[in-house]
Amino acid sequence: MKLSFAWLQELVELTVVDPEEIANRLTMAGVEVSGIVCRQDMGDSVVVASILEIAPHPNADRLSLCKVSDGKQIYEIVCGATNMQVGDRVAFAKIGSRLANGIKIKKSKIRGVVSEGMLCSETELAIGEESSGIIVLDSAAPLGQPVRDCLALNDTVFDIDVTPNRGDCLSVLGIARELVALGCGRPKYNDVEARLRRDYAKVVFAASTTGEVPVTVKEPQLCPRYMLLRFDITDMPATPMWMVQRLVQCGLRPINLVVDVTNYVLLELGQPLHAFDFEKVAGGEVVVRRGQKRGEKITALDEVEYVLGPEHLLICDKSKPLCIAGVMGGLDSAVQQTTRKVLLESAHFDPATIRHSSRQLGLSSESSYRFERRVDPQAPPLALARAVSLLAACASVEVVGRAVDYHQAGSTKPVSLNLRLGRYEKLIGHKVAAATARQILTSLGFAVVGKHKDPLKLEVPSWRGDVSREIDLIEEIARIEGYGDMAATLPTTPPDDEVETSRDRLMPQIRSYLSGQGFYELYGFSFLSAKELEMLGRKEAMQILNPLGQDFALLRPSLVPNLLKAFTHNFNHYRQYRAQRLFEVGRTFAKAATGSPIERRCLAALAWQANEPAWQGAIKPAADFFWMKGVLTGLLQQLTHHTIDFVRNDEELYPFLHPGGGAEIRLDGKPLGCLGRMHPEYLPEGCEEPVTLFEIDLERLYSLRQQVSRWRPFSRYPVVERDLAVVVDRQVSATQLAGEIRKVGGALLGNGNAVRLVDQYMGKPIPNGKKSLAFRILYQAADRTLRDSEVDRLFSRTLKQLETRFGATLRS
Amino acid sequence: MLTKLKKLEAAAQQALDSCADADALEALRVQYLGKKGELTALLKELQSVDADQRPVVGAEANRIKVELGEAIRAKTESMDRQRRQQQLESDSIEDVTLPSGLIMPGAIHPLTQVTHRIVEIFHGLGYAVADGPQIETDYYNFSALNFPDNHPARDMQDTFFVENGLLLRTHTSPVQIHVMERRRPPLKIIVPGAVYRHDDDITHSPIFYQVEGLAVDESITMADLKGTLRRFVVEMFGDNTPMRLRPSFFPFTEPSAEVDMGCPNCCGKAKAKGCRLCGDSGWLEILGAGMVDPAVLENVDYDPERYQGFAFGIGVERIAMILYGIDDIRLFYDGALPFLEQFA
Repeated sequence: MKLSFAWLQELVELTVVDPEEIANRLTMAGVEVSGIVCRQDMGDSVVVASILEIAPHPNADRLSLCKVSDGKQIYEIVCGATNMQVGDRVAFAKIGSRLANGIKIKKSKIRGVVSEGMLCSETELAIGEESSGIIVLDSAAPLGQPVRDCLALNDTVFDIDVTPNRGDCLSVLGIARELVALGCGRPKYNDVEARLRRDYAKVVFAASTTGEVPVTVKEPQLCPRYMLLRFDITDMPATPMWMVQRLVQCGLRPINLVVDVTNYVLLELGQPLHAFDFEKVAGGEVVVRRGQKRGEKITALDEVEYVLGPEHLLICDKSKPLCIAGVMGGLDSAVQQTTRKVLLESAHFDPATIRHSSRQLGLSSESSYRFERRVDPQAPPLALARAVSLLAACASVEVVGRAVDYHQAGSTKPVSLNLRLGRYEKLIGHKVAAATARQILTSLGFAVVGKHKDPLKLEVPSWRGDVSREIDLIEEIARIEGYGDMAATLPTTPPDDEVETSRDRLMPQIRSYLSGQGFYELYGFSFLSAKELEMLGRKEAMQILNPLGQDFALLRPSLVPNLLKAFTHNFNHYRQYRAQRLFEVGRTFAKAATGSPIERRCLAALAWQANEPAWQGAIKPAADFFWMKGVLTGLLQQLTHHTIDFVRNDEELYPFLHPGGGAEIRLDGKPLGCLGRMHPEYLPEGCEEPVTLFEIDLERLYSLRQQVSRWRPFSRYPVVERDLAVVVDRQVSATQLAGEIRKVGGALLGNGNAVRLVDQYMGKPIPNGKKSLAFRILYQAADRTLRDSEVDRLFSRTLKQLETRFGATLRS
Repeated sequence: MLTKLKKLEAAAQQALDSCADADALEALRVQYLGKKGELTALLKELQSVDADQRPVVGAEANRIKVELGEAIRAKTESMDRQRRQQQLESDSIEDVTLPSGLIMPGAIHPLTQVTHRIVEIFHGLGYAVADGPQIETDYYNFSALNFPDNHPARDMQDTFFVENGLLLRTHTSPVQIHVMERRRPPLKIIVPGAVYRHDDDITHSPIFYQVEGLAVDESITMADLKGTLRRFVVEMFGDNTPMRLRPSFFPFTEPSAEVDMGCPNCCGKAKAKGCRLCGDSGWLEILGAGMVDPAVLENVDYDPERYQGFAFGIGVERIAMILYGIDDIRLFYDGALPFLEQFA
């Protein structure tokens, strides 16, 4: 919210005048000032002048020659605007003055005629957006006075971020009240209010429901108060410059006098008003009701047609909606320059209803913004009186009858609360004196009831709808006292019971292992597109109903798409990287058959290595299937002692993998994830080398009981070494053969490294469809030195067994 | 006899000098000192020498045997040494600066590093780590945390809605509710995790990370909150970092505070000098905090007259951006290697 410092000073007599200090005080009391803008000082050579004569330019059709006077001297000016008349007061920039847009005015010839200055538009003074014509100032503006002073351009504007609970601060009055409570000044708003009450008592404050216009409120819960005043306006003069200036400063567009006055009151008092053209109100009556079930239409002031139903509160005439209550008026009944009979509404609406309408229609306004944050229910009469007083000062206004004032019985009863001082101390950590508490709360407008000191009994002012509990009072005292002086201690609560058991030991281990292997950790979005889902071979994923775009419409069931995306991004944009190793640990989201989400922590890693020349002594970096398998196996060995198997991806459970280059990883025989080469189809153009990746489900590892494995005694006797090379059918796996060799070797091959594949060969002279596998076998007994004869017997039994089981033949 | 010995010694010496390798040396040893060697043969002749000459000749023969043996051994050793030396020289690495090819640097993501530091600080203060789902119900994300339906407080957190009436949590605070429903006070927990808001620009990411803190017991005060946050700021940013609490509003805490730290870029001295980090205010907002609202305690069946405590939420990206001087939040998420490799 933008707030004028000068305006603020009309409602409070400040003892602190430095805007920076005011901003700081407000910020430190919870009303955050996020910016201060000082209007650019344009100096005093742009002055008020009067137009004496307008004549056509001799050499240009679109230009005119104006004679203007600043009260002392007469100047001749060339001007392009057409909106001025003889006698108008205008903003005249003398030679040598500098405008807001940085232009310096020089004496110059325009189409052969000398111009002794310039008449300014809004844009040239940086006070508005209007540039088609010059500013016409108030006719009372004193000649020769700097325009800066005349338009209050020296003003400072605060940008204030009001938290959603403090609807009462969305006005000049609200901020004035805060400053008074903060001890920054004395209130003037009480005098203003008293004057308004006195001057407009008869028209506005009288408790009458017998006005000209019949009003029916059908939803008293949603509209506890509804005031309506009819007046005639004999003509619609231009809105005074000072008022336009303030509206523009606060970000509102001037429209016409009546509308501008309603906006001015909204900014000043926080009470939204709405003006209707009475002649457009069919039947001359007003009904406050819900929209009809079958739907009603209204074209609002934004020229958009809205369909309204029972969830919307409407202000209607006999036949049709005139206004979406509290949100926006209808275009048809809007007050225009030609309007002469006006209905002025000042009402209180239920915040939740207004918010619902505004969100449901996607239509927000200064009015709905305030109503949904709750407006003071006592404000309508005062706002109405203020509007009438402003109108009466600018135009010839005749009020017809008295104001209608509907209000629901009991709706204005003040809330009363108790405050225990001990409660404050227990919560905040230090004592507050009864006198201090009382002083702070009364300065905020709370009324102390009775003489009891503790608990203190208080009545909440009508504008503080956010205060309804003792805790709210405690907060008020704490924030006005300021958090700065509060002590800083530590809780005496002992360490939490779960402090050790809750520690995650898995993730840090994974991260340090993989980063040690040259992998970079990524953080990806949790979203993916339907196309990516298809790549994964999944049919379903949890859907986001309001995604940022179709690429982010689903919740990821796998980390793979993100890794691939990051890989592709780096591959295409950062060609200097000739290898990539990436990983992510994060949540994945699946959809259960019941439709409910299943979240699982997963790990995925990707590696790629370009074929790069390296000097012969260097270790050639790799990223192929077996390298990646090594990385994964090494990791899993650190994380668990359970059995890990790799099974070919023959069933294509992982269609994003190369059809012949993938494996399923199994933990204790059940799927844990996959490992393999990425299907070339998904790789970026120009990527020739294989990209390998794995993904595993960490929940399975988390569910394993962490246990310390006991040590096994090891043999101190010598090892007997044998090499065995056999020829088998291609589909026989090395793991099957090794398993069989171990089985025959029994206890003598108990060591983890006892059977090691040393060669695999296919090609001549091995027959087609066959392959040769060579193993190095290390026999060792726990209790004695093995004799060669013993090992020889075992070795030939092994060979025989491989022959029977796998049709293996010894390779000669 | 002595003459024979002298001749033999001279011949042996000459042969020794001309020996070029270990094999020749061994042959020499066998030739003179072996069982059938020349010196051995001479020694056998010793018996035929006159008895009075025998000791002199014997001593001379022995001397030659010992000295020759010694000389052969010495030469063998010296040749061995020489050979090893040559071997070492031929094995030497001329350029030790050549790259190994083995080591490729990797890195843990800066957000992990910062989260880890935050969690460690609170772990040291006795906080347990808790976790919760990222897909939440309206109840846990909003209602239980005292966000009324149709209240503008909900606008503070633009929400992604998920099918079946669910949503992506907009903060880590729902975990407060999960933990309090499961446990009774006292409790002190810390909740690191991803949260989601419907936002995407240079300072907002649709996914970002928070660390939530919650402490509930019978007498935890707002001064305790201030002291705890002070401790956090000091451990994270150093002893002399200024910190201030400023009143604010969150539906689930009351009183509520925004917490600012002194701008490390300009140290608050850059008034009107255009500090891009703090916009010349001298302060940077780093987290939100407050005393747990009684309504929240009631929602989990804690008696607010008996139990009280505080909660806070730290933005991990915010802390990381300040620590590393990063100015675009999106860098954390696009996986660009030129960014990631800086955190090795």
